[in-house]
Parts: sequence; C-alpha cells; structure tokens
Amino acid sequence: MTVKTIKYSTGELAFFAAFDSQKNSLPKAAGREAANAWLKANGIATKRVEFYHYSDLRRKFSKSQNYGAAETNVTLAAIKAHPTIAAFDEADYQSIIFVDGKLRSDLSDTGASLANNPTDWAVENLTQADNKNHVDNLTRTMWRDGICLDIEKSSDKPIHLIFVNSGQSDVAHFNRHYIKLADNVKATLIESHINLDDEPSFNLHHFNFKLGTAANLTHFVVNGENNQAVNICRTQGDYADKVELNSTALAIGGAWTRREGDLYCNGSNMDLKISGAVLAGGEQHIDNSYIVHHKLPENISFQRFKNVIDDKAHAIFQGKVIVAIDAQKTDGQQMSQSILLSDDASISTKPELEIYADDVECAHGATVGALDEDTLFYLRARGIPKKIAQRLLIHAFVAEISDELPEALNIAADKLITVWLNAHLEA
Amino acid sequence: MLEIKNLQASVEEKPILKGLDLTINAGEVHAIMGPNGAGKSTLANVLAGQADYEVDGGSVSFHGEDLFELEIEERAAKGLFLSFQYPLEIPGVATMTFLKESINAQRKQRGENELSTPNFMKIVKEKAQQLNVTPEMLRRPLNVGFSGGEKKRNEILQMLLLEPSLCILDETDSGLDIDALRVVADGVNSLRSPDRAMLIITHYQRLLDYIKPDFVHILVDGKIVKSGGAELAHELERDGYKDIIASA
Repeated sequence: MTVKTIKYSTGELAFFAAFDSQKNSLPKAAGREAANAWLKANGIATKRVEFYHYSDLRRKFSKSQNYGAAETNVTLAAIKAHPTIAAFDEADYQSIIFVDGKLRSDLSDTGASLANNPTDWAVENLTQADNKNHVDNLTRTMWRDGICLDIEKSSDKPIHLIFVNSGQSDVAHFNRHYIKLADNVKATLIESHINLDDEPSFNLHHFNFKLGTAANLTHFVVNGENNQAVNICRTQGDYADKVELNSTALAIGGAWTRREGDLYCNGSNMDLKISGAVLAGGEQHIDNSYIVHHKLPENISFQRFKNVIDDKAHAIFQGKVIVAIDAQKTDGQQMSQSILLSDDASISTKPELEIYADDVECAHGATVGALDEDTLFYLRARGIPKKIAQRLLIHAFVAEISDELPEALNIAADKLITVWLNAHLEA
Repeated sequence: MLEIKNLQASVEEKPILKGLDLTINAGEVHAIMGPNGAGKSTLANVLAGQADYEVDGGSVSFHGEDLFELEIEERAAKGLFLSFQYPLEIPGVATMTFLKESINAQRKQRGENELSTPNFMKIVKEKAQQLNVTPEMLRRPLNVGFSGGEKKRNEILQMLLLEPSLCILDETDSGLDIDALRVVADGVNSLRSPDRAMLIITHYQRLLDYIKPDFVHILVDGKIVKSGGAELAHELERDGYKDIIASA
C-alpha cells in the first residue's frame, strides 16, 4: 500500500490543531473524528478539485484564523434595522436567529438547536462516515450549532433564518442544519446572511434538506454581508416524488461567497428551480455551483443564474446535470446570463451535462455581454440620465429571477436590488 | 432655435454629411427628403447624440447653446426629441415606468418638481387615448411585442407627454397604414405651436399631405441641394430625385 503524503498548508494545520484542542468543548456527536480523518487524508479542496476550480477553499483557511466560541452581545433592534432584514415585513415571518454561529433562542420566534435537540434524522446523518465532500466534512468536523426543523404542517408564514455576524470576534463558525418537509407540506424559508459592522467574518454552513412526496418549498436566500465576509454554504437535497422547489439566491454583499449543492432527485415528477441573481462590485467573489443528480425518470430541473458584475468582481456559475441511465424523460436546463459593467469584471461560467439515459431533453446556455448601447441611447434620448438608464436596464435584467418569487418575497427582493443599484450607480 | 452650419459627420470613418446648413426657427415645420443613403437618418442621429456617428466638423447651436457640448439626456431635457425610425424593444421595463422616468428625469434636470403619480396617470391616460394607445399597451414592457404601427404611436405618445420644443421625426410614416398614419399625423399636428419647431425626415410625400411643412429641403449626398415650400414635395413626387440631382 502506498501512503499519499500531503504537505499541509499553515491554514490546514491551524484547522486540525483547533479541532484537537477544542473537540471536547464541541457538542458530542458521532462522525467528527471520521470527518477530520477524511480531511487529513484529502486536504482541504484546492482548485485542483474540479468542483472548487474557481473557488480554492484551502486558500480561505489561513494560519491566523480564529476558532472557538464567540461571546457576543447584540440587540434584536440592531438586527432588524439591518437593510437586508428591514426589507422584509417582520409581521410576515417567524424568525430563527443565529449570532456568530450560535442559535439564539432568546432572540428567535421559533427553532430547535442541533446542539441541544438533534432530531433522529440529524443524528443518523451525522453518524454516516462515507462523505466525500469538503464542505460536508469541514462542517461535520467542527460544527458547533445548527437548526433542526421538522415541518409537519403547511404554513403561509415563512420561517426566516437570520445569520448574524456581530464582528466582535473574528471567529470561524461551522453550522449544520437539518430541514425536513413532510409529505404534501408547503413551506417558505427565507435565509439572510448579514454583518452588523465592517469587521471580517467567516462562516461555513451545511444544509440538509429532505422533502417528502409532493412537498413544496420556496427557499429565498439573501447574502447581504459586508465586504470582508467569507461565507460558504452547501446544500444537500434529498427530494421525493412530485416535489416542487423554488430556490432563489440573491447576492448583494459579501467578499467571498460560495453557494454549492448536490441535489438528488430520488423520485419522479418533480420540478426543481435553482436560480440566483448576483449583483457584485469591488473585488467580490461570488460562486454558485450546483450539481443536480437525476437518478429517476421524468423530473424537471432548471438552473438559472443572472450576474451583474462591476469593478474587479468575479462571478462564477458551475452547474452540472447528471442524468443516470434510469432517468429517462429528464428535462434538465441550465442558463447563465451575465452583464459585465467594467473591463476588469469577470465571469467564469461552466455548465456541464453528463447524460447516461437516451431519451432526455437537456440544454445549457450562457451569455456574457455589456449593457446594450443602443438601448441606453434610447433611454437617454428621452432625458433619462445614463446611470438611471443603467439601473433600469439592470433591474429589468435581474427581475426575471426575482419575479419568480411569491409576491411578498419579490417585493423584498425588489427593495434590496434597488438599494444595491442606487448605492452602486449613484446618479 | 436650431442653427446647423457646415455640418460634417461620418459613420465608421465613411463621410455621410458633407457640409450641411439648415436654420429652423420656432413655429416652423421643415421636411427633409432625399434618396436612400443621402444622410437623412444620420442628421437625426447626430442631433440626438448617438455615439456611432462621428461629428467631423461644423457647428450646431440649439437655443443658443453648442449642441455638441450637451450630453444626450441634456439635449432631451432642453427640448430636443427624436422619434426613432426603429424604436427599441426593452424587455422588463414597463412602458408606464419608462414614461414616468422620462418625464420626471427631464423635469428634474430643468429644476421643476417631479409629477405626482396621480397627476402623471391623468396626463398619460388623456394623451394615450388621443393616439389609440390602450392601457394594456402601457402595462406591457416597452415596445415588446408591439406592431410597427404601435411602436410609432408610442413614439408620438412620448412626444406629446414630453412636449419638446424641437420634434425630429425620423421616417415616422414607415410601417404605418393609412389609418395609423392619420392618427399619428393628428397627434403631431396637435403639437404645432408658435414656440415649437419640427423637422420631418421622410422618403415619401405621403406624410406631408397630413403634416403640412413650411419648408421642404432635398438632401443629396450629405448636402441640402434644394429648398422650397410645400410644393417642392409634390414636384419631387412627380419627377423623382433624378432631375433634381442632375440639376444640383
């Protein structure tokens, strides 16, 4: 047997050392040691790992990274005053608030903590040892808290997961979340990520979603962090027959954001929409990378991302549809459309299809361009100043994503897009 | 109001306008006619500020100001309006939103108060009716799915709302049937006033039967070769451009 020796980076060594020194203070759970061993054997993903080609995870782990629990003191008023949160009508949701990686029941309307009340499914999942994903194993090793939600009844009132970084201590936070929808349940989940100040923050989240037969989930994510925030968010989806999913992510902040997922069609006749709008400037790095696994016949999946990129920002769309041999009549679509507003802005877009069945309808497309000069001229010829004309056109471009949301969420998305445009394209 | 002196302009380094002179005073309606490629649309686009057209020489003053010193939107706010030959389709921007943004952007640049929504709606409703523009069209994205005639009526609606001092109509009659032509012409005529001037660019005399010009100019190879009254359009319709070009 040959033993592969890995030369660890100082960031990896700091992570492993932090786990060794802190494991006794972390919530007791099976699976931590195995996950840690997997990371030691494989290292943290570099760009040589194809799925992380544009987002080198290892480089985000520095030797000076802090680990451990943070003692923080924030007020509910400060959280609700944040523009991202204020865009939503608070009467219209039930909040679950995390501050610096810890569930704060004292601030939240509802929610059960993985650390205190893990569901059977969560315990079972944490025990599994054969996980080959880097974010899965990083969070499995180091998780300190998370949410366990078993949604048994449909509700018109969304649950709003709010992840707050107080910045009082720049500590890496690792969360794992388990969200289950029973058969026929219809639910809406809002997920907001924010900072309360300009300090750096570092978060890894792993979401497990299990959607029962004919479950219907609307999941709206807003990345509204500051320009020092690192946020890595992974979704593992397990979907049964006739599931309807509308997952929409809006990025209007963050320094380095990676949203990834492995979504498994473990049934038939489902309709999955995975979409996002990215509004990025400065030196932001925003990555949306999803793999949809069509394992069984007659499922529809549509990945659709729209990017508006300015300054030196970099957006990434890496989408993949894998159609297994049994997954006949699959309809798997991927579309990435980008507008570059500056010469230094960039987009890396890599849609992929891996098809083993022979009766499928799959397509992917990508467009990249600047705002159309003739259209801008037309608006300006009617007296609309250039910046306002640009705002109108960009808003129209990304509204095709937000218009797919239910009305209340679309209104919030619209406000957030407007705030970004007004700040970014000052007239 | 508008004084064009020795204007020279090119597209992709190809000279199109080769020394054009034209003076338009308030209250006057001028028509420019000419064969294909004479530079009619170039003139309209240069005046509006379209960046594909390079100004190589000459001067244009508009209300006493150097037009080429003004941004596209400033020209509009100062009263210059171009009715496009090919109005653009803008998916995702509702016609109503566009109209409101235009009016208020111009008012703001002129230091006037923005129109309130009820006031704006009242004005739009009235003018839209005049042009057979339906409320349904106003809700649709700008010009998306509009027929050629609907697009042109939408252009004239914008003109009625913005009340410019100089209306430039670039081939407004193209793509219009006789009924639409009448509606459009009535709209344009309703704007005729002693403080307003019009420059009508057209291929055919047909439009000029409905909008009577005070002056007709023949543009050939980037220059005005002949000017006259309304009767010149009829002459042209009868004899064609050939004789005029030959005699010029």
